[in-house]
Amino acid sequence: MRLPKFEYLEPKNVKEITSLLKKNEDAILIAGGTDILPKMKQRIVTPKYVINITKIEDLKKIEFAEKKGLTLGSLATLDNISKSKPVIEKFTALAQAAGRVASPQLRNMGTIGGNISIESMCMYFNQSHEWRKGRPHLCFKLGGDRCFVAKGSKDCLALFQADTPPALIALGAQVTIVGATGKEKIINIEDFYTQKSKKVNILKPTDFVKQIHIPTPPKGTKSCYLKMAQRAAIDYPIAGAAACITVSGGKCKNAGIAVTAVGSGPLRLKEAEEVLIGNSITDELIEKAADAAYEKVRPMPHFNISAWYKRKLIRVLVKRSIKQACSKAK
Amino acid sequence: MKQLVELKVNGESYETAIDPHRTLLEVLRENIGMTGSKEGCDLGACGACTVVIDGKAVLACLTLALEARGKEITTIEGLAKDGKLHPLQQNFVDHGAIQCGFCTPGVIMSAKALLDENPKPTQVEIKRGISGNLCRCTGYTKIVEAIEVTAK
Repeated sequence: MRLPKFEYLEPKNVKEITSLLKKNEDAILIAGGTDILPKMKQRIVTPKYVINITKIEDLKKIEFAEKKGLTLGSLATLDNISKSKPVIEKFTALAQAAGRVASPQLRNMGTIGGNISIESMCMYFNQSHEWRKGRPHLCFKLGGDRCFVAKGSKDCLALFQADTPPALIALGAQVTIVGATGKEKIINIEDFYTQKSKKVNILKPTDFVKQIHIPTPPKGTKSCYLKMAQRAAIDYPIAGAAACITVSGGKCKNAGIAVTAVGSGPLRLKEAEEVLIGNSITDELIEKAADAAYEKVRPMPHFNISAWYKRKLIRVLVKRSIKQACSKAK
Repeated sequence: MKQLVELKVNGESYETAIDPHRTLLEVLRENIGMTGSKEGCDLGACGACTVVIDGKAVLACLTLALEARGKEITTIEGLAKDGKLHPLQQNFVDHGAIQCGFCTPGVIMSAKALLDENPKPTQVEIKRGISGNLCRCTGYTKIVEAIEVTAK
């Protein structure tokens, strides 16, 4: 499949990105291109302008300082993040999540900014132009009036499947977004997601993600991300769970638990966190937290994965990720 | 609008006029005439188009040719030197790691990037290194063997 025609722009710094986005309507940003180029080949998006931001070296940094925490430029590749020493040591869940995305080649190309802003996927949406043309109706995501995932649904039900967002939520990351005026806005990564499949994140056409910041976790904090997929590589998760646990004086001081591939966005499981916080962690307590997670998630069936299986899987993954994080935290 | 682009492929410079919407794979195959890198799924799921850019294995089908300006591109054609096969290529031949051969250029480029970064990989690391390349003939065992022998 060939790409549609477009005009190519190459800004040299962050200011130029904003001015180019403001000047050119119907423009998209491209970094790794691993998500947007297939969609352009399938004619799901056909922008007039493509703005390649990969020449901006400032945005590729991975910086860590004990006081400041971890700062990831949005163009840091997933491969570099998964192999970065401070990330592996202090932000294990993120290194594990970044290291499990797709395949080595795609990790070399794909960036963290792209992974968190990835669209939700659907077998009725991510298809070629000819395939979609063969159906008499358009789905919500393509501007139509129905959802093929569940008949009668009033909203798009495409599945959000990115790997790194649950890890970032569990670790308490913040996203810096640059808006049309060039002003920076810092938000918690949970607020970055709308929990609506039709438009997964809050980014406006003139916005872009500049960096992601995670504060240094307190002593005794360990984290873990677990992913279950049908294949070991080039696959989205059936489900993924991240846990970040702070243990101090034998008791759980703080907990962050989040899951992916269960709905329209990454889901933070506050109910499961509350079970753990303030108590000394035992196997029974972990079971209770996993039950809370099971109660909270309401997944849809996806391909050959039933909702029932996915829900049970979430319980298992949440349990194991807490266990693994705790076994290291002690 | 067409732009004049200089690409550095296998140590040699190639100048060609291309539209911005051409991928590196298309330009390599159609403009430069290097048909070693293959077009499989063309959506980034098979790895047949793997080339090495600045020491990293990437997918040429999802790289814009304009993006590759000023970078060091290595394709399967750049491995054999003076009529002699690269050790990886020779071992693939010796160990029968080639069946239909369509995935081979991609697998060898992934393996090369892996061995350049980690000259003594374990079997697990090798499998992980080539996990982005699908072999439809399913001859993975011999591929892993050939890479293991090369690493020794």
